[in-house]
Amino acid sequence: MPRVHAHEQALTARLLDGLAQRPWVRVLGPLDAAERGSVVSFVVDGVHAHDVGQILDDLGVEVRVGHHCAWPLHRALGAAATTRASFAAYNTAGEVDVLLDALDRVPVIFGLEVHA
Amino acid sequence: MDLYQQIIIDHSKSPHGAGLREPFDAEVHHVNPTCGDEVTVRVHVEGVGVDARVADISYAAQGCSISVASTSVLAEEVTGRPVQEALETYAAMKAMLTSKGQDPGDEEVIGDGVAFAGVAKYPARVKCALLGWAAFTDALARAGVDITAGQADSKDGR
Repeated sequence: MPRVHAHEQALTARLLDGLAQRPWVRVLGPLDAAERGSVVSFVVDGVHAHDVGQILDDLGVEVRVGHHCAWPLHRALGAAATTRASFAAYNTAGEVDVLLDALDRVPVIFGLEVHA
Repeated sequence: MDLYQQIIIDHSKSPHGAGLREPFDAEVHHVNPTCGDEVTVRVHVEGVGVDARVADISYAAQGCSISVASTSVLAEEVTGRPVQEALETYAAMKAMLTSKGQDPGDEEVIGDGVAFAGVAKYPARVKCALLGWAAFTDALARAGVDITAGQADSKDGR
C-alpha cells in the first residue's frame, strides 16, 4: 500500500503543478499533495463545472462534476459546482497530462481571456 | 464537438432580456438538484382567452451554459407572442430535446432553439436545456393560464 500511496501522491502533485500554471483554474483545498488524498476539486471561473466536464468527457477524460453530495460545503466555498479528478493505482502520469491538455480547450471553447 | 454551438455560447454570455422585472402575474423558482442549476422566472400575461399574450418574461438564471442559453432563447422567442404560440414553441422544443437526436427542430417554430438539437444526444444535459422552459410553463399555470388545453385560457378564465 505504501507504493500505491506514493504513486497517487505523485499523480496528485503533477496535477496540482499543472493547475498552478493555469491561473484561470482555482483549486479547492491544500495546494500541497502531501496534505491531501488523490482527489482534486477545482473551478474554472466563468465556466460551470458541467460544461468543463462535458469538454473533458469529449476528449476521453472522465471526471465527476457537481457538488459531490456536499452542497453546503460548496456554498461555503463560493462554488456553485466543481470539477473533480480522482486518481487510483491504475492511472498514469501521461493521463494527468491528457487531462491538463483537455482542460486547455475550455477557455478556447468558452472564449475566456486567459493570461498564462 | 457539436454540443457547444457558438450561438449557445453567445446566449450564455449575454442572456437576452435577463433580470427580474415588474409587472408580473406569477413568479416561480426552479432548481435542478443534481447539478445546482437555478432559475427564477416571472411572466406577465396580457389579454384574455385566445387574445392572451406573453407581455414579458423576466428571469434570473444561474447554472451551466446550456441552461442559461436555453432560458435566453426562451425569452427571445416567446416574449410578445400569443400564449398559445408560446406553448406550441415549448412543445416543439421539448419534442426536439427528448428525441435522442431524431428531431432536428424546426427553426420556424423554435428559432435559435435549433442550436440545442445536439443536446438531445446527451441525456444528462436535456434537463439543463428544459429548466427555464419548464419554469415558464409553471409560471403561466400559476398566472391562471390553462397550459393543458389546446386553446389556452386567459388568466381570468378559471
